Amino acid sequence: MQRSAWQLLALISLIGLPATSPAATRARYGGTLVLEIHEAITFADPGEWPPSLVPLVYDGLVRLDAQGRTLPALALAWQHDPENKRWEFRLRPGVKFHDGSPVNAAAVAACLKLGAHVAVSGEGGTVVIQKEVPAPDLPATLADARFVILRRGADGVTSGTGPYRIAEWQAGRHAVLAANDDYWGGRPYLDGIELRMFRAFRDQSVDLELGKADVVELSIEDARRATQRGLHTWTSAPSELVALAFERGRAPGESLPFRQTVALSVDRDAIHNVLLQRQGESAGALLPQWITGYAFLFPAARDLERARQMAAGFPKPGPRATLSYDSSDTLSRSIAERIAVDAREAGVLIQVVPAGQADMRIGRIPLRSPDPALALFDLAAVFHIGELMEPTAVTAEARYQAEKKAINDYRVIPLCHLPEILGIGSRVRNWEPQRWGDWRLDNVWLEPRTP
Amino acid sequence: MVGSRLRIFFPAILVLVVVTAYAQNYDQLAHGLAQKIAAGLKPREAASLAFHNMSTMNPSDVSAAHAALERELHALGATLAAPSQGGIEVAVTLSESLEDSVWVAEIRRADGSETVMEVRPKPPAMAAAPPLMIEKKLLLETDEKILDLAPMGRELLVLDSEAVSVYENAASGWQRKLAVRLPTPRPMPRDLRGRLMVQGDAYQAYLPGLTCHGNAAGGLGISCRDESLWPVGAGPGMLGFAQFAPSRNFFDGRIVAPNGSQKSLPAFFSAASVETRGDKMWAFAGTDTRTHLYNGTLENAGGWTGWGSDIAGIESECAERSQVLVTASSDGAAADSIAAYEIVSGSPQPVGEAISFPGPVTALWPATERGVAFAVSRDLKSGRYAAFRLAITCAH
Repeated sequence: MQRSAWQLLALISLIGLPATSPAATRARYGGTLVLEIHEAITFADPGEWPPSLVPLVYDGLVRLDAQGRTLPALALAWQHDPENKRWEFRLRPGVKFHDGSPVNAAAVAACLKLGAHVAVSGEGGTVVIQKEVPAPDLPATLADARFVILRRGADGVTSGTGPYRIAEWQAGRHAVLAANDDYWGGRPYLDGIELRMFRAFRDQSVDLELGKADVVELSIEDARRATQRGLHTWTSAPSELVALAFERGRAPGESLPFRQTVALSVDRDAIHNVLLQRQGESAGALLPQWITGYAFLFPAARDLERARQMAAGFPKPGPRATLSYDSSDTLSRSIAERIAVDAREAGVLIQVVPAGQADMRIGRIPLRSPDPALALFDLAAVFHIGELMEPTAVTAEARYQAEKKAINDYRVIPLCHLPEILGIGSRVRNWEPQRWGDWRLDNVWLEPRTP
Repeated sequence: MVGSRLRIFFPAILVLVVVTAYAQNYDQLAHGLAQKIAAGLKPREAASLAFHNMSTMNPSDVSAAHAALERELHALGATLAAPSQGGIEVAVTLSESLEDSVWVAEIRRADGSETVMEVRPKPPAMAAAPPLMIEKKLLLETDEKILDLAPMGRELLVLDSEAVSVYENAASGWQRKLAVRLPTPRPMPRDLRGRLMVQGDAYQAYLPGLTCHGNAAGGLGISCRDESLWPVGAGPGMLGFAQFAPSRNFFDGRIVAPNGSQKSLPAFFSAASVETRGDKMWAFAGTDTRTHLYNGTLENAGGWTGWGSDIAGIESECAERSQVLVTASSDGAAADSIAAYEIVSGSPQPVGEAISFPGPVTALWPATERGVAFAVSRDLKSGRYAAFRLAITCAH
């Protein structure tokens, strides 16, 4: 009897399957995806673009898969000498730039700028890169958005080889990307992408809810609201560093004990739990754990007692400094105010000022690369702490030592690593960007609108 | 035909190879880290090990790593002590980055600590074997996208995105014996699909905009022409040939019957023959998300929604009825399943339980063997393609 009841239940479940299963599903061609972003991009040049957008129009010699392994892109194969100094990349035959000109070794060599001590030459279908120092990770480096292959016309307009070509460009406002019918990886499913720039986060959120946009960027606050309303969101791996940076040449910043006192006073957990609503992670390291694997070695815990002891050692009337933030960024403001409160508890007076000259500032720096060496190099350039970094560090241990040296100098105090949060419209299918945020929309397709 | 011995052993061999790769990788990590720890210890200095796992390693791998590291340290002459016995503490953290396994040891002394680490590329993810509901046998796993496969005597002919290959049934599993590259006169469409038909040693490979033929006897030649008419069905019950859109992933709806007559249907992704109460019917998975049912003379007989894009009709040994195998994914970014249905009074009725796949099903075609179909799935973790033989077994 009991068995019969179970069989009946199973039968009812199975009969219900077709009605509850998702609709049919092989990818569909056609449609224009509307993508909104906060940033205003002025030039149709990948060097000016957020890295996530670059793969829409441009390809590199190689690209990375979801596990960070290199895959062929414009180069089909590559090899190196025993010292990892000379690399040869064999190009994919028959590929053309969007302007119709062929992608050959000479064009690639003319485009690829890898620094003063690197020779790039091309002959036939092979590009040769000769470095002075061993570069075992060169293919992974070349997967970075800054090394895409493009052709610059006489008018300065760039032409890529990617799944979409630039069909229309209104600087800082609006762009239309059209499907590249001859794309070497197969024509994308979408006919095109409409890129709307300089959209306030709140406006993007509203557009998503009203079905006026298919993919939008969400602030932390809007992301929470979107989730509560049942909208589909996507969160990247932590891909932005929020840090407190001391300005050089100003008295407070030139005092190592002062910098250390402020660092010890910061309550990162409060910032993460309250201000960031647990998005991302507290950061004691410059690079997040998923990029290096050793970020856990940098403690992020507050040591208020020690901060108080150090502050007590400063001459009267006690340590003080000014802290600025980007006045258009409410999150930076909240973090700055929280740091001032934390510092006051330790006996340090910090005055928060919007923008302008100050002893410290809140910096929000997108991590452009999942490659730890490149990412560290970028941060060294942004914070002017290049002398503490070792860009030729090719081992994880060497990078750890370089990062440790920078952290222990306290000129840059990591606070947290933030993810990118996107709102995804209900018609969008196959949305699977890389976890660090590269948007490869060649596989994305749109469910037809139901009448 | 696929040998039953091989069907059993191939997955076992595959798992063994992957497990061996894991073990080798961990042994190398343990060896490297042990050497660095030993170099940081003074002679006869006792050290206790504390382990912490921050990686995606499973508990048994963590235990194996722990044992391997202790073994390596012993071999290097290090003196290991229990934490209660005092001495130096070595905190070992098994961590990972995007690409690498990162094993870190912090050698902690009263006067400070030293950090050493060993880094190696992560081994490929080991795919979990999904439960079997319909009888499902793994045949092949490759990096290339398998489009279709067909038994050819004791061998297996495989069409993938790069080539047509002959696999032979060797003791170590299916081994590629011969391969001939497909010509690529133009970029192939995204979501590439293909069909393979075999008669004796001769084969025909159908691709978007391209029809190729060759012979596996005396080498594996290939000759192609610009044509995109794919067969739908086979034998006396064949529907005819359908026009596959050359740069897309669907049939445009034009059907040419064996007698030369033509018919135009809505565009569709796949078709399945079904028999209901002795009547031959055809189901078409339309690009409009509906499944359309047609009778033998291709007159519309209804339809429904809720099925996936790939369907395959098979005649099973069970109850003398035909079933349709149906995919049910939401899109190519999600795991998929295949369920069996029968058409009763013009409506689909599920039979049995669905079988799951570790990624989207990228191909589903009926085989010439009665009651059998082939399915190909892309593993979402490893990115590799696996071809399965599906057969409906009778439940008693």
